[in-house]
Amino acid sequence: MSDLDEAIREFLMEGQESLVQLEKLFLEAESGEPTPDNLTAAFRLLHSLKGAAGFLNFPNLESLTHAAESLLARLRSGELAFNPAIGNLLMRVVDSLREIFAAIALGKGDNPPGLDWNGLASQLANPAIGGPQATPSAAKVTEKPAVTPPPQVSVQQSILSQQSIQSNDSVVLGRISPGKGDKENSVRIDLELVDRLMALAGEMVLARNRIIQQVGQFNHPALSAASRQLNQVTTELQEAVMKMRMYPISNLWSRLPRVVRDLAQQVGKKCRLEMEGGSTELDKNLIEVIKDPLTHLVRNAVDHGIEGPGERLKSGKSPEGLLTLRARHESGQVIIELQDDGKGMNPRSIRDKAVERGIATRDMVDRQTDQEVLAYVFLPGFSTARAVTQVSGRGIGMDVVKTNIENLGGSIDLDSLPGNGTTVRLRIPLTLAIVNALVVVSGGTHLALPQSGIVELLRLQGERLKALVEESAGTRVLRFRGRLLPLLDLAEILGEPSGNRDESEDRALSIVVVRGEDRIFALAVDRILDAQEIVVKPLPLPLRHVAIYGGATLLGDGRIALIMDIPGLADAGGVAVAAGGGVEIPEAHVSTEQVRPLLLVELVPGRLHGFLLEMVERLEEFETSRIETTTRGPAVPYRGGLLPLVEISGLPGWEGVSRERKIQPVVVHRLKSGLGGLMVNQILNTVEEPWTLVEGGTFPGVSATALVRGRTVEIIDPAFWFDRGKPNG
Amino acid sequence: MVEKTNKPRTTDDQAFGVCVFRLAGLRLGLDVRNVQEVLKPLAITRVPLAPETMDGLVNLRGQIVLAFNLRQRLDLVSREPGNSLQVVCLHQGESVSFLVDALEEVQEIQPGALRPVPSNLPRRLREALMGVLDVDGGLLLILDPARVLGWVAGESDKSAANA
Repeated sequence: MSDLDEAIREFLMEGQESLVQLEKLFLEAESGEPTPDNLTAAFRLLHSLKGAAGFLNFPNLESLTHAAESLLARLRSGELAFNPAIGNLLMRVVDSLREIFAAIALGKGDNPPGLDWNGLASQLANPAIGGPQATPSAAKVTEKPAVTPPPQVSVQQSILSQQSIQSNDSVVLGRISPGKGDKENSVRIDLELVDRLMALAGEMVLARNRIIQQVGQFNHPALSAASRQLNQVTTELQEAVMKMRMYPISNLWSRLPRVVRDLAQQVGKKCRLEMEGGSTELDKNLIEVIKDPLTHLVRNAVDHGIEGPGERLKSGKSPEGLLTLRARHESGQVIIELQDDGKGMNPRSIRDKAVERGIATRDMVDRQTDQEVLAYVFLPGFSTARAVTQVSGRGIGMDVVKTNIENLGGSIDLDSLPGNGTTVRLRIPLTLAIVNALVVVSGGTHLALPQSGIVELLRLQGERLKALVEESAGTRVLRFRGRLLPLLDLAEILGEPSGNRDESEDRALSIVVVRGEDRIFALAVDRILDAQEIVVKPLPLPLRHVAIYGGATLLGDGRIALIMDIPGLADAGGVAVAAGGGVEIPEAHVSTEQVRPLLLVELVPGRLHGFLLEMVERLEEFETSRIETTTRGPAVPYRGGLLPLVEISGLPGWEGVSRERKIQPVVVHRLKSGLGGLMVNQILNTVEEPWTLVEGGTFPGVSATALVRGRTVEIIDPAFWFDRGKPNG
Repeated sequence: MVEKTNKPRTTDDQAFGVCVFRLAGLRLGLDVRNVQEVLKPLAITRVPLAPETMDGLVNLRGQIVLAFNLRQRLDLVSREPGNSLQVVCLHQGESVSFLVDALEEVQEIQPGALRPVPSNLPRRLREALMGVLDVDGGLLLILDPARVLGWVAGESDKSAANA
């Protein structure tokens, strides 16, 4: 039955919306005293569902909505008092309706198997016999959430209630004022059509720009006036079309109260969800994408954040936990905050866990601040929950949430005070399709840098240039607010003749300081043009593997600009994660002294090489016989998969991995693409004491040179070597 | 998937039209159903670090379209100066374009008229053809749309990336 009748399709779409509203109304009724307005609104929704069900000939649906409607009527009239059992019953109605809709959508009629029609109908007809849990105590409901089937209801009773419905029906109906309808002013539009409109509006803007340029050449008043009007209308049209795609975030939130309610009952907690800023709008596509991560965060907060009622009372809190969701616009982004007043995260247990999991050393975690330690929560496989419960800790973790949000160009951070709760903050771009970008020129190519990745723009000349830019061994470093940043030449990365290497006295350098993922670095460009709103278009497939681009766009003059992917650029320029030049140097120690622990290894006889220990996942030794040769190079079976191995060949003095040895030491790193092992000659030791950064990278794949205990150590950038091992890298 | 035989690679039992153009001294034909339009050359935006066979991107009325280098793709040595027309093709809903030296005509090809590809043609060229047609003006090489354009839609992304 792929060919659903148009009327049924429309009914289902409206029905789904009604369900969402019904659920919301019922939840509201449950959390406080149900107001007459509340019940009337729910009644009206059920009534129109019933009408449509009758019209489309779905008798079961009709009788269920009828029964639910009558229950509401009795609540409204005061004949019945609201109690938790009724709340659960109403939830069951919503769930059953959902099942029925699903069955109808599949073309299987309105009688899904397994639905207890009689039980539900009789309970609706007489909720007072709903079992012993039908007492007004909320606590009891949490202990016994299941609604047990009620005892048999006599036929007489249901007939009686049917009669009372008939009379109530019209009364309530009479009270529904047509002015209250909120759906009358909207039309449903296919999202594809909206996308098409967006694209057309974009083209129209370009055509308009061309016309305006041409019109300027004629001195014709009427033509000028017409083109001004065209200009205005086009701009407004584009804005209006963009607005069509915007949805209030409350659409996303509407299902969360139910999630919180059900989960709290399941784990025996009490929890209230408050929402602020539900009218904040964001792109429809984004709403779809952040749905799961946000739901996960909410479940996490209820399951791990909020304490049980007893524990809360002991620490002087109200037994009911409070979750607050807030949304607002801030500088072109949507900020979503989820705050709980639970027990917060314990930095000490995070430290222990990090050490236990082998993610960090004891010394390292002890030296890190509590805030830094919280970030471990986002690492794959890290979970502080003592036991994996049925609710959360089912595979998807905070690392997945973080990845999902970052894939959208957003970010996530955490604040937590032990005993006072946790706040998770998501920053999300308003829309995926339109971003603010800075347009720069390098070697004749126009490039757009997403504004979200830009830290600062600099134009250096004369003394300032000399003071801030340091050049050594062909690489440059920028002194930027007490940090040393690698200064990459964009033209060089693009393989173009560089226009900013001129050595004259009056030369000037345009620099953009950018940040991508955990890396911050500086880019020298030929020219900085201007900031624009750009419409992101995907690159044609054969170009998508070029990692430094994130897409393409048309500029106002019809020219094509390539959108840069900042992490991709960092990789191409050999910038290591927070290593090399991206090192954070506290303002007071511009002496470039470092306290980050290093792992020292021997790659080349007689020389020392180091890895930043925080980037090392594990140290392993594999029997050489276990190493297999795959099309992508050597690999070894590891943790149920294959661990790709890379040798750091090409370093001066490199003699290759000895095939004769029985045991191959490997330093395992966690990279964006997964785990990877670097084969080394010998693993020496770790260095915990401060060391001095001598200079930036001297050789591709070496992100910095450092002085450790008086010896020179070349710090290896693992990402470079793994990328090199990949095809087309 | 790769046929080893030299038989014409056509499954069409019906006559079909090919758009005939010149490139590097050769006469090439491409199924008209794949040809969207032929234009004066558009300004090409080069894409640094893109594979060599990619010329870059063109703005086709607000649509960003890939321009690839058919000459390089087929491993042809240029024998005449040219690149005077931009052919925009459609393959599986994606537009893609390349430059040719000149456009000739549309020619009807009868079923069974296609001859096997001569095995001494350069490999790259040979692999891109579905057959040849022996006509008055000399050999007409009929391109296999799936092989010439297919990789653009990601069907054999590797060959594009390694090219």
